[in-house]
Amino acid sequence: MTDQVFEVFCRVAPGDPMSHIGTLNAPHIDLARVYAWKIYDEEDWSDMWVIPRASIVSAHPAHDDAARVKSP
Amino acid sequence: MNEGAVKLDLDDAARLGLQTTVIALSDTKLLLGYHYGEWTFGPPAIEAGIAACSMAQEEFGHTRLFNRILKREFEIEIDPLNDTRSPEVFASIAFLDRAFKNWADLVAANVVVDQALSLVVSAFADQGFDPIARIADKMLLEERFHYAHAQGWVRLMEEKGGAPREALRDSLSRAIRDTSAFFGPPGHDATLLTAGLKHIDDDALRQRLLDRLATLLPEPEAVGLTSGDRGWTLAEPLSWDDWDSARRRLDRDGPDAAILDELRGTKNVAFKTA
Repeated sequence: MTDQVFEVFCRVAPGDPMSHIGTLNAPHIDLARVYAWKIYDEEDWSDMWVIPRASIVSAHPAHDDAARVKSP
Repeated sequence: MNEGAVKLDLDDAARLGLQTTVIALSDTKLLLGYHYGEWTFGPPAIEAGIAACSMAQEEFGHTRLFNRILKREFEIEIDPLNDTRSPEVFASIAFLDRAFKNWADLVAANVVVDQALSLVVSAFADQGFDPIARIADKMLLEERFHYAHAQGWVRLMEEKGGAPREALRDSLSRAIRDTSAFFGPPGHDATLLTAGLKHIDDDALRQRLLDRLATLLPEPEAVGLTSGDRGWTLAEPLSWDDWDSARRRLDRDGPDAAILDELRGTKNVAFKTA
């Protein structure tokens, strides 16, 4: 099983905008959740999300509709 | 008398049972924290090292909480930096006695030892022994992530197959036997239940641990488990003849002296500030 790239988003208080705070590598979503919480726990977040980078769809009109954000 | 000492109007047997349980939780979490900390470096992924480091901090924090209970309720002082106890009196799970030889050992400790300690703590939550009940919720919340980490790695190594799976199964087999011993012979903690200090006996907690592991593992038999009338048990039952109730273990050895030296800062005594 190869690692995937996950993007980590947080917000400090409910209602705040979602902020991108970093990335991580993990073989699956379960470990990605643990790693995100352990790596990016510097603030008292009210919410944290991890999203596989491959699931993010480009909305830019110059890009293909189905284009996914590529891993580096 | 402070608030936490109210429930300590106990007979000698219950008091001793409680005291040995808290010492065992403190000692085992100290050793577990040491091993997690050691694997900050050298894990198979940078993220795994960060997680191990974080889990180490939490285990050391839990040790400090248990040591505070020992001091306040039992007038026993354990200061890890100034601890002079010999390895042969440590009440820690034998699987943690030696340096881990690979990542499989860490994952086995994570999924078996760590979970066992959480089960022991959970038995005191919700109107059990007050000093543990008060710290249990936050501790068990932190431990949920330890278990999620363990589950993730067990799943991964089982799916990988080959050498990683074999190494994991070898480590799990040893961890499960040593940890089963930690729960003691059936009925050893009856006085704590009678006194209303805990809700579930250690035999039931051991059963819960083995059943959970069997659910997680695709082939429980490969780690020395067998299915019986009550649920999953050790295929080769433990003999309790040599069980040391004060140390909650069968093995008469103790943690490697080199590990204790590192925990105590023995090489850096000259630099100690207190």
